[in-house]
Amino acid sequence: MDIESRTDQIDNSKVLWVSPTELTSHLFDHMQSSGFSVIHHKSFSHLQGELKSGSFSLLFLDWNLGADVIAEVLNFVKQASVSVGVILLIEELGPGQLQKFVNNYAPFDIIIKPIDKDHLLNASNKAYRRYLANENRKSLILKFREQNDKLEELTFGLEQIVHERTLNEEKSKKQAEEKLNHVRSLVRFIKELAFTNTVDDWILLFRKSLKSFSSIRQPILCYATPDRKMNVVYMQKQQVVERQTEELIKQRSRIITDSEEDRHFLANFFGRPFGKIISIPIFLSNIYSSSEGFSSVLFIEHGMDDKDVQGFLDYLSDRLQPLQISLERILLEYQLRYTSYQWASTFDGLAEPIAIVDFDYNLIRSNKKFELTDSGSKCFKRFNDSDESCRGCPVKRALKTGRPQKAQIKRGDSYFEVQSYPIRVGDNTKLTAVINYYLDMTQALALRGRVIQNEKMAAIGLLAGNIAHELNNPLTGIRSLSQVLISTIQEQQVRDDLKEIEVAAERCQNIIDNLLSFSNSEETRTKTKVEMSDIVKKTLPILKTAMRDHNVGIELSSEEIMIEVEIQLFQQVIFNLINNACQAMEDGGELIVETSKQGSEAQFLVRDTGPGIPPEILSQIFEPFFTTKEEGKGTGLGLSMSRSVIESFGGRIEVDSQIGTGTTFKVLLPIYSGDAN
Amino acid sequence: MKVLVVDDEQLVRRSLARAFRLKKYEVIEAEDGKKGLELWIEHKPEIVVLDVLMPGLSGPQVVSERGPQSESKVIMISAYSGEHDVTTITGEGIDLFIPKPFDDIFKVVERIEEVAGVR
Repeated sequence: MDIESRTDQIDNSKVLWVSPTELTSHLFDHMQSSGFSVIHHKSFSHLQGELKSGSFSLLFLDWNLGADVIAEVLNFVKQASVSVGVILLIEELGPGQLQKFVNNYAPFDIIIKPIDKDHLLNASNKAYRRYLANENRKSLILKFREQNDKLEELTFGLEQIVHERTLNEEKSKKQAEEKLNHVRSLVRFIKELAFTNTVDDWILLFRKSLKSFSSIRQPILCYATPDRKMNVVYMQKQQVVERQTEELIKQRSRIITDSEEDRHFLANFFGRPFGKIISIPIFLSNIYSSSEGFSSVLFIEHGMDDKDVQGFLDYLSDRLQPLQISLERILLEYQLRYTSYQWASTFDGLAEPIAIVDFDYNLIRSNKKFELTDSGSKCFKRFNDSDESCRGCPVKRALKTGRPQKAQIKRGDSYFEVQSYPIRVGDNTKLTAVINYYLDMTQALALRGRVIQNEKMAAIGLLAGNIAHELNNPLTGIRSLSQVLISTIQEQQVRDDLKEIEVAAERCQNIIDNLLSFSNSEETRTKTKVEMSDIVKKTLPILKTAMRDHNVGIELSSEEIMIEVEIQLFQQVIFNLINNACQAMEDGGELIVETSKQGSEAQFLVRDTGPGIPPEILSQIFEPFFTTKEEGKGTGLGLSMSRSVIESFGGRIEVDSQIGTGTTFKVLLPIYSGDAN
Repeated sequence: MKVLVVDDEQLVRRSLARAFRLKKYEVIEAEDGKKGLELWIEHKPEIVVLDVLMPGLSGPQVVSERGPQSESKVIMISAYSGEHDVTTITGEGIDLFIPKPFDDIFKVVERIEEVAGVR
């Protein structure tokens, strides 16, 4: 309904006229013609219902109805919120009571009698417009209220939806976070697994990951070793313990719970009963083979109910594969380390040096025997502590020819025969490295030297023997003829001369005799019981030349000292030691030769007053080929032979030397006591 | 009494001869085995002193050539004592072996006399 149009055209608007007096007809008509349909009532009784229905737009009240009635009507209109425009009809404008009415009930208009028809119409129209405006406002408010209610309703619904959505969102956010945490912890677990290097670490980490399952006891890992044994790894007092058993676990393919067989196995191994267990087979590579009919198994002893077990298995399902993979890696590393350890210890166990060397003498690998020093990268530095390649090194030759090469090189006092075998390293198609195998030839060379020396001595012996025999004949003649002549010639002077000749001949015979026993004959090759001083005495004559420039003091024990030696060899030792002592004293000096008993040992001592042996070479003097003598004067074998000879008799040689004072050699031999006779 | 001294070493031969002659023996000398054998057969000496190693016939060969018919006392002397088979120098037909060198020529002569039964 349009409010504007109604103000212009009043269409049969019902108007209630309450007055004791009749409405004049011309007023009535006038109103009627203006669109007001006037209904006249003489009193107000029974009109409440009609008024309340809202069918009247205007209500005319005659003051003559009485103030009480008017007050009652107006109260009703106000209280019942009747929508009607009230116009009061009064006689005159009196003060007091009317004013109170106007103030209390706010009528639309007041018309003073006598009623002018135009005035009435004007007032009616005015009131009607006001009424309409009120009505409009009322209906608008009503509409607003309705719409408000609707809005409120909608708002409430929306809020509900928002609330629900928020709840849902929070729920899914929580789920997502949980999922994320789960994945994160799994990733962390896998990362940590990747850093485990030992089975100990592995089982500790696994145990840590089971923290949230309070009723799980320690995990027990049984894994099969390549030598068909079972290693059992478990925790004991916070320590990881690993023990081996011969009992193997039969092959299986899936997780089983509370297996009687497994319980039996564990009870046997640990010596205590086992409760609920979960047996999880671990699949390892072919080194720790399950194809041979036995399995590696992870046992979990626990006190969980079936639901928790399922939760635990769900938890484990993500972790089982990483666990397997990391354990397999650890065991493979073990195997690898063991294999390389085996190789390393094989190399190091070799008595001879061995090394892999590249074309530029860089050491690639070597064993313990190879290294003299552990500094530097070049083979010659490590092997010989030298700054240049070893003399005669076969490495370059081997690489050039592509064939194994041999050479002899020296390290300190040792001689090595080096075999260089060329090899390929890595992806190289060319030969870039060699394996060097070193054979210590020192001993062999020394032995060879000794053999040569012995042969030389034997040759000299043979020669000396022949010469001695050839000399024996004429010497016998000289001596015998001297004796004959001495007995026949009377002249004292000639007899004395002949005596001299005879004595000289005798001395020659003695020398030859000694030379023969020194050089000769197989019978002295075996050990014989002899008296030490006697042997020394018999050796001295052949040293007369050596000793002639020295002041010689010989103190041979008067007591019998029996020793068991090869006479010829022992004489060589005596000869060597005295000869050395004499040669040490170039400008003459004092030579002491003694034999004595020292407890249970026989001692032969040679002391000189020579320059002494420098301490730095004192340890080398017994080594073969070591000599300080000029070329041609010594072989460097005398002392080494002497020592080996004396050691072969069960004795030893000691040396004591002071620079500027001299040197003392002592030969100590066990006193022979095997035969009381 | 005749003594045959057979030795290729002249000094030995001469000293033995002189020592025997001093004791009034008749001494015949030979410088090798062959000559020694001839003189042995020819002179039939009571005592024969033979060196072992000589050019031509050796001492033991001379003894075996002469044979058992000889009544001479045979004394073998040698410088090579250690290198000979003891049987060849102390064997049949040999009465005494004396190794060279001699310490005292007169003691040698005395021992030979003992064997020959002169003393």
